[in-house]
Amino acid sequence: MITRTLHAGLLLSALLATAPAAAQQASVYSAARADVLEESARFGIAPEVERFARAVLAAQGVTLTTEQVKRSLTLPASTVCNNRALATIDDSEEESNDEEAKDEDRSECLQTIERLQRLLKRESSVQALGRDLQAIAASAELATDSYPGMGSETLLVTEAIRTIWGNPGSGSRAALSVRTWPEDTDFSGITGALGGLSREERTGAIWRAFYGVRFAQGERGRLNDADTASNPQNALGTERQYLFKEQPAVDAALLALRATLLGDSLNDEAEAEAEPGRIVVLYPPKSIGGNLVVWVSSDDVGLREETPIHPVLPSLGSEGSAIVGGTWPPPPPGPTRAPLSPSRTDDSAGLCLDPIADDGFLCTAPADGTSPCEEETPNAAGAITLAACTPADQETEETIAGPQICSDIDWRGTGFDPNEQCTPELECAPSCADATGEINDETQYHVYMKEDKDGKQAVARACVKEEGDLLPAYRLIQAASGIRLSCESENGVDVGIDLPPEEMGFACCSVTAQMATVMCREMEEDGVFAEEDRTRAVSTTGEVFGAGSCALAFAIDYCGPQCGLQPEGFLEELIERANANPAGRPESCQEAIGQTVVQGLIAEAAVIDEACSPERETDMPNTILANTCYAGSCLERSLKLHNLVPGFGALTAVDQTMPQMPELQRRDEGREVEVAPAREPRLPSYEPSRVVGDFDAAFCQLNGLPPQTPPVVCAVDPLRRVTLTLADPFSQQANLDQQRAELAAQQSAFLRTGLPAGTRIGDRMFTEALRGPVQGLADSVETSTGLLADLAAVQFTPEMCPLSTTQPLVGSGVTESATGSFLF
Amino acid sequence: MRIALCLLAAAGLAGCSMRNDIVDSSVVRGRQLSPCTAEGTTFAELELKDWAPTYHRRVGEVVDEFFQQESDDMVIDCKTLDEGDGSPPAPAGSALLALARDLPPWADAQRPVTRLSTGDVLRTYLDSYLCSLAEARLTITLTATGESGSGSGVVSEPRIGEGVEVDRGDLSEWIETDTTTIDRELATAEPALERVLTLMSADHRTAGLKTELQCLLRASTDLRNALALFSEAAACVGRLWDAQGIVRDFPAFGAE
Repeated sequence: MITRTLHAGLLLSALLATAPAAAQQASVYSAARADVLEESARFGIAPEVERFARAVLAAQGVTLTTEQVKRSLTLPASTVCNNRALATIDDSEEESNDEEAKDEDRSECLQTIERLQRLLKRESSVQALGRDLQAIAASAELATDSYPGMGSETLLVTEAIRTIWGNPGSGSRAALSVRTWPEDTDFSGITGALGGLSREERTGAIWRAFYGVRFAQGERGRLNDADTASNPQNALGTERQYLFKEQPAVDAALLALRATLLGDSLNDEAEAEAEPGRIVVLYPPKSIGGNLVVWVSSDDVGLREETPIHPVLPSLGSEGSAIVGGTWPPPPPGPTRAPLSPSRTDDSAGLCLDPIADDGFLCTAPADGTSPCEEETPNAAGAITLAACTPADQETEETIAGPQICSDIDWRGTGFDPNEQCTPELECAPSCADATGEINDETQYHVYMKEDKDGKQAVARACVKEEGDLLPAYRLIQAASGIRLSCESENGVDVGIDLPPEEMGFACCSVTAQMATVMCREMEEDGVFAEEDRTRAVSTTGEVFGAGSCALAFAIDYCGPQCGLQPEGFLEELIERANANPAGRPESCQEAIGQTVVQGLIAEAAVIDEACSPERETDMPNTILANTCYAGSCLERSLKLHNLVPGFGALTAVDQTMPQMPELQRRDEGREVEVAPAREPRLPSYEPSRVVGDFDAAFCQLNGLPPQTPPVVCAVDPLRRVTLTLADPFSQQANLDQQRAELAAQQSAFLRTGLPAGTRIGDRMFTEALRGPVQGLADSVETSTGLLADLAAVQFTPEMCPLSTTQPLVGSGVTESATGSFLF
Repeated sequence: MRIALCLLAAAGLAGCSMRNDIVDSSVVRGRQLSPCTAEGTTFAELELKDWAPTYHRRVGEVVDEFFQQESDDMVIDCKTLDEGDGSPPAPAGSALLALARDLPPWADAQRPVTRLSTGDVLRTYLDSYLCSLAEARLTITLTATGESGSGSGVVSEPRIGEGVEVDRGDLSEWIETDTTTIDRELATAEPALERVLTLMSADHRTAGLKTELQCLLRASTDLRNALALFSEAAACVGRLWDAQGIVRDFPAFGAE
C-alpha cells in the first residue's frame, strides 16, 4: 500500500508541476467527500486504517489481505467466510478436511470478521471525529486569522485600521511591507518534495511548516521541547510520529524559494529580527494548487492548507506493525493570565512570531505587568466560562502621568520610555548641594537637572534652604518655577540651567527672570508691592515696585548687569518688604512646600509637553492618535499660558460661550461629550450542560415523552408493553427492540441536527464575543466624528470679537453667524 | 455626512453576524420546503446512475466557487449597508445562481440569491437529493422489474422492456448495485456537505464583520484626514485663545 501511495503521490506531483494554476485547484468538496467515504468504513476505508486492522489481526495470528478487508466492509461476515480463505498460523501447520474442523474454522472466521468490522468502524470514527474537529476549528479561525489569498483580508484590514488610528502599543512591533509575488515564481520544487511523501507524512509536513520552516527547525523563536522530532513522544512508532518529523526535501525547497524571493535582503536577518520597529517583508499566502498556500517573509517561509481540512491524525502504523496508541500530547498550559510569547514553550509559541499577531492581546503583556482583568464568575448554572476579561476597575484607569494620555504614550512614534520623562523633585533642607553635588550655601536655593541612579531618568531637582535671606515660601515658588522651566527645557530647547551665569550668557537673564516672574506675581498678589493705602510702593531710590521690576532685580542679582540696570539697594528693600509677609504665608520652608502654587508648578512640570511651542517643529505620524494628541497639546498649552476672559469659556464643545449676552442668539450645536466606556473582549459563557440538556429534552419530546434521564430511555416506551401478554418474554424483548427500530429513522435525523445546532451555538458565542470591543470602537468613532462635524459647522466671523457686553458688537453687517461664532 | 453614515454602519456591527446564519429562518420553518419526492426536482429528469455524479458535480462547483470568490469582487457601499435586510452585498456566483434557480424556493426568482445563500441552497439541494434517493430505495424493485412505470419519476426508464427475457441473476445484480449506490449516498452525502458547510460557516459568520471592517477603515481614514487638518489649525490656537494678547487688546478693527 505504501508503494501504491507513493506512486499516486508522484503522479500527483507530476500533474501539479505541469497543469496550469487554475486546473490545480483541488475541490474542497471532493476532498471532504472522499474523507467521508473512507470514514464510513462501509463504502470505503482509509488505507491507514486498513493496514492497522491487518496488523492488529496479524499480531493475533490471523493474516488478511487488503482485498479481504475491503470485502468485509460490504459483505456479511457469512459471505466472506463462505469461501474460507483467512490464513491462520494453524493453516501452515496442518490442513484438515474434517467437516467438524471446517465448522469450527467457519465459526472462528465469523468472529474474526466481526471483530475486524468493529475495529474498522471504531478507527474510522476516530478519524471522522478528528476531521470534524479540524473543520470546526478551521471554521472559527479561518475568517479572523487570514491574510490576502486565503479568502479574507481581515488581518491586513484590521492592521490598516490600527495604523490609521495610531498604535500606542509596545513601540517594538514590526511594520509590514506586503509584496506581490513575481508571476514566474516556480513552486515545482515544493510540490515535488511533497509529492514524494506518503499521505500521512505530507499532512504532517504541511502542518509542521505552519509557523515557518525556520521556526520548526528551531532557528527562530523558542521551540517547545514537545514539538521536536527528537522528543521520545514524537519518535517513530508513536501516533505522533509524523507531527514534527523533519522533512529535509520540503524544508530545502521552501528555503530555496525564500532565498530566491528575498535575495540579498536575507543578510543580517538575525539582527533585524531583534530590532524594534523593523520592517518585515511579506509575500502573503499564495495558492500553489492542491489546496496549498505558501507564504514567505523576511523571517521565515511556511506552508498551509488553503482550506485546512486535513489534520494530522494519530498515526496507526509504522513499518508494518500497528501503533496501539497511549502517547499523549503534553498538557496545554492551562488558564493563565500571562501573555503568550515566543519565549513561552507551548503550542502557541509560533503564533507570537507572526508580525501582526505579536502585537495582539494574546501575545502582549499589559504595560504595568499586571492584568487589567478580573475573572468573571459563571453567570448561569452549569455554565463554563472559557475566558473572560472584565476590567478590574474602570474608575482607576489613569496613565502614569495623570489623565493626560498623550503624555504617556508614544504618539510621536519615536518610542516612549517613561524613564525618560522629567521627574520633578523639590525639597527643603538645612543646606543644599548644587549641580556639582557639593554643598553650596552661597545662595538660598539651587535648581539643576540630574540623572537618576540608572542614568536614564531626567530629574529636575531644586533645593531650598530652611534659613535664608528671603521668606522660604517665596523661594519655593521661584524654585518650583525653575523646575518647570527645566522640565520644559528637557522636552525642548536646553536653556543651560545647570551652567554658571557666565557660561549661560544672556540666556541667564531670560531664565532667571522667568523663574522670578512667577514668584514676583505672587508677591504682587500678596500686597508686597502695595502701601497700606493700597497705592503702589516706591523704593527709596524712586524705583516702582512691581512684578516686572522685581523679576529684573532677581535676574540682575544672579546674572549681573547684562540684564539691565537698577538703583542700588532695590533688591534688599524688596526682600525686606517680602519678608514682612503681608499675606501671612507659612514661615518655615517645610510648611510652605505644600502651597498650591508650588504644587501646581511641580505637577505641571511632570506632564509638560511643548510640542506646540512657537517655532517648534514636531515630527509625528499622520494618525488619528498623533493628530489628536498634537491638537490636544496645543489647546492645553494655550489654556495654560494664555489668559482667558472670564465667562468666555464654553461649558460644552461648540456651545454658546456667553449666554448672558442678550445680543447673542442661542445656539443649539452644543454637545455633551460622553466618553464611551472601555470595553474589554470577553468570551461568552460556554454552557455544555444546558445545551446537552436541551438536546436531550428535544430528543424525548420527539418520541412523545417528557424529558428523562438518561435520555436513551426515551427511545423505548415500556408502557406499550401492556398490549402484550406477560407470558411471552421473547415477544416482550422483540417489542422493545421493535420500538427502538420504529423510532430509529427520526432519531438519526434528529441526531444529525446536532452539528448544525452546535454550529449555530458557536455562531452565537462568536457574535457575543465580537460585540463588546467593536461596539466600543464604533462609539468612539461616532463621538469623534460628531465633534468634528460640529466644528465644521461653525462659521467664523471675519469681524473682531467684542471683549465685554459694554462694547457694542462691531461692524454694521452683524449676522447671525457672526454673533454665534467663537468668542474667547 | 459620509463619515457619519459609515459610522452608523460600524455601530450596527454587533448585530451583523447574528443575521448571517447558515440557514434562512423561513426555510427552517418549512413554508417553502417542497414535498419529499423526486417529482418536480432535477433528479426526475435524470437516470438513477447519473444522480450521484450530477449532484456531487454541482455541489462541488458551488463550493469551489464560494471559496474562490475574492473579496475584491464585492463592491461595498457603506452608505447603503444598513438599508434593506442588512446583508452586505455579495453577489452569487454563476454556479450558485444556476443551482438556486433549479430549486423550488428560488425558482421563481422572487427570492434573492446572494453568496450568503450558499448554505440554504446547498441544504435544499441536499434535501431534494436525499428525498429522491429515499423514494428510489423504496421503489427500486418495482421500478427495475417494470411493474411500476416511470410515473414516480424515480427512474426514467425501467430496466426491462416488455417481452424481454432477463436472467434473474442479472436483475438481482442491477438492483443490488443501485441499492448499494443509494445506500452509499444516503449515508455519506449529508456528512460530506455538513463538513464543508462547517468550513463555509466561518465566512457566513464573519461576512458582516469583514464588510463593516472595510467601512470602519474608510471612516477612520476620513476621521484621520479631518483631524490632520484640525491639528494643523491647532498650532495657531494659542494665539486664537489669547484673549488678552495683542490680537484682543486692541480695539476692534473697523469700529467706527
